[in-house]
Amino acid sequence: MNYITRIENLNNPRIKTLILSGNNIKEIENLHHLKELQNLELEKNQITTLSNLTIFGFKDIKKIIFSYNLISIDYLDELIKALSMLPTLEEINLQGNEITLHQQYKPRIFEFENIKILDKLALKDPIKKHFQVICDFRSLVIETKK
Amino acid sequence: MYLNTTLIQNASKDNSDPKNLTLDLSLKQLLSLKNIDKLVDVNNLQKLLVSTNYLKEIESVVNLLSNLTEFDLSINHISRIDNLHSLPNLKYLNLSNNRIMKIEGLMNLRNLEILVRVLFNPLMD
Repeated sequence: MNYITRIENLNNPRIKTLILSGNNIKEIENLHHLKELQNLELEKNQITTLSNLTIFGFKDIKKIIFSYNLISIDYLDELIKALSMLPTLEEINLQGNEITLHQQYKPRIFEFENIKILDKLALKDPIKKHFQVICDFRSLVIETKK
Repeated sequence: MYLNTTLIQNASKDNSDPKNLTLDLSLKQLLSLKNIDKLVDVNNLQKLLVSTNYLKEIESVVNLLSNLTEFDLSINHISRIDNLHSLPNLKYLNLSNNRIMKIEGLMNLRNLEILVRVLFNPLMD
């Protein structure tokens, strides 16, 4: 196969953008030296978890593109936990992963003020507020039905 | 096709680049970069674009391009990342759509800022 299966041998301290889309990478690893990483794009690989991102001490990570990987719907709590440890993030793309089907996927990510673009959609405040109203209304309906 | 003076002369016709800092050899059916050092001033070259050719390897002559800041090797048949150890000024490296299976040989590239290795194979999935 012509695919890269592992992230390794990267000790270049000034790498700001790393794009390894369309390979067979299963794990986010060996990024310890890339302290200045800002854009990480691993679209169309086989990644199942983003938790590893928090161990590398990225000072200024801004954009993470993990569309079309294998991040499951059960992963939401861990995703939110990971995102809370990456306060410099501005853009995240998880399109094509099962996790996006979780009912709470958008509302819980919306809670992060630092994230401005989710799945290629720019989150302007009116959109966030609108969505929040719908969520609140739904929970109100459920409560009155009781 | 192998590099020759005609190819080089035709390639460097960029009026906005009078010092010939950029060499665009994309889509030239090139099999090799052999002799590039005899055809261009290797010390001056900053951007080398060799996308969409038939290169099978990154040849050792590339090490002579000591001021290279951008190197586009996308869409070739390169099987290994090699011979990039003497390019301390390299900032942008594109190795997309080659036959590379392993990330290696990038150790001395202290100024590397952008690394791209994307593989799109429209025949699969």
